Amino acid sequence: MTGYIHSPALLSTDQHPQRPPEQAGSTLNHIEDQRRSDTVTRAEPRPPVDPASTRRKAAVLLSAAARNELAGPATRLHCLTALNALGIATGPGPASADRCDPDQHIMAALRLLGSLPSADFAQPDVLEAARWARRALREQR
Amino acid sequence: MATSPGELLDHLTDTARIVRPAAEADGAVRADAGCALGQLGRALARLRQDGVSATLADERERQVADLAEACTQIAARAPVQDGRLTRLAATVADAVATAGAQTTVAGRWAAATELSDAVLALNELAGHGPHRAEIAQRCADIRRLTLQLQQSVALHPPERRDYEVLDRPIPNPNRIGQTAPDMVVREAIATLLRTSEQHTVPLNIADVLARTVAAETLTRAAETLTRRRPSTNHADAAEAWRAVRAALRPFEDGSRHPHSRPDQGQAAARAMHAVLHRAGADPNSWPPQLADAVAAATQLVPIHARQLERTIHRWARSRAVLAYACDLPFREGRVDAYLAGRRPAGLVHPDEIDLRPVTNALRAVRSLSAAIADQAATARGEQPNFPRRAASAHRALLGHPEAASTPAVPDRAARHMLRTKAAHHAHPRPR
Repeated sequence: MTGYIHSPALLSTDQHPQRPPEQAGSTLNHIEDQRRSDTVTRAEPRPPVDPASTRRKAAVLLSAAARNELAGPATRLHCLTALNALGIATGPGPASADRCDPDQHIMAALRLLGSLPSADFAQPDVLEAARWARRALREQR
Repeated sequence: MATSPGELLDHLTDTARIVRPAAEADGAVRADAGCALGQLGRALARLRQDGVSATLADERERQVADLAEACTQIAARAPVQDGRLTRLAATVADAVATAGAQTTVAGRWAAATELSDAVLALNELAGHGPHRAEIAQRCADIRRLTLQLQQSVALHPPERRDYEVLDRPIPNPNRIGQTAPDMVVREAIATLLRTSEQHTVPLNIADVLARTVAAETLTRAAETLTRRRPSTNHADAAEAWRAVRAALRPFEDGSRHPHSRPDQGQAAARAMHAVLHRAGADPNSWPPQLADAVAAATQLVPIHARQLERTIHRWARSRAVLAYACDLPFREGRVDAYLAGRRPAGLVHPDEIDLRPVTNALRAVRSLSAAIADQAATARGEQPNFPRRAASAHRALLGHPEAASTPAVPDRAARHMLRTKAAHHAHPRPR
């Protein structure tokens, strides 16, 4: 389970739009818009994923975020609801995960859910879990 | 009361869930949901037009465009209804359109994320009950497109701070003259935020000074409010706003004179200052609504600081302000202007380097205001209509490892700047 949480693949931000954390908010909008590259993205073939394993990894990350001391009550509650929607018992996680930013865990869980095949992502439990995880990211922490 | 696009969206989604039991029997509710989908399609199309991805022709842009088109198509086939859902969705679309100038790519993506939730709720409502095959097919298409978009949202989740754009209030400046102090505070901060971004020419120095006075009064009130909590760490944000005014002293653009007809922003700043000044220093004597309004308005002060920082950058680019070289830090290329003292030959156009003390002060004030806003959210964040997304963004900013020490460091910087400026102006200048 420790391997899940600290795996670089799980916490990777490679798929996120490249944007310097502080500069994006402090620059003028049109300057930010100028960063939009002229290149046209092409859909890259995604490696096949095992839905059951991916869902379990996402559940472990949501569980870690739900008991992270840095997360506020609303974030914990929403993570627990998302975990409940997935319906996977994760068991106790490593205490070392508490030192990480809970937002990173939630975002990694969301990316895992997003990496599921479309048919799996469209399942009500996955949709519900993704919705609550997104809500955990925007609610007061 | 000033509302925000996020609040309207929450209300729209809640209303859709409440009226859902009636949708199967009542065709008017379904038609209302169909028309509301058209309005949300308009909002999505606007977001797509402004850009929701940092990469051109990104898959996400195509998905948003497709969903906007599908929503518009189903609305064109729905019987015309002007129900509650349609009016709410239309207001959301208008708010998104008018906020376009204030948003970033990430903020627009976050807004599209929230809109997709509302689209899903309305689509379930519109597709509830008996339908023609064509409408049922279009509802199925919207659901499929929304799920595709939500999968992209899961792959590219917006960060906490990206949602703050949805908490920017929609102002109604005509209400600033009303008597209820809490309403004045809410409308004034909404007007300040909106007027700071909508100018085609940058704000002048008098405008910025008026806004710093209002922000100082507001943050002082928030500090007073949170000081009742015993464990409060006093980060003196109000004093940092004074430091911004001190940093602005050397600069001039001819606007520092009494204005017979101040603009909306200045009027709002004056109204907020007057109301909070009249309320007194003891928060125990405030009505609870005023305390709630102060806590809510404080959440928007860091955003205002960032807007003013952008204004200062615009001054540097547009050469909108002047200063005597002798009042600025000495630079090799300005020896003649420096020696000319306060004569016309000593006037220079300040650039980014000259204006850096002001931008640094505003950056410091942003961190300190975020700290106060966080304390105010902890104290009174449970009230309805509280800007939760903005509060969440501040908490994330303060919780960031690189910003962990920001409340203390800018505080020292602000105090040092006040002392330095006082000493700077106490000494005679070369003439």
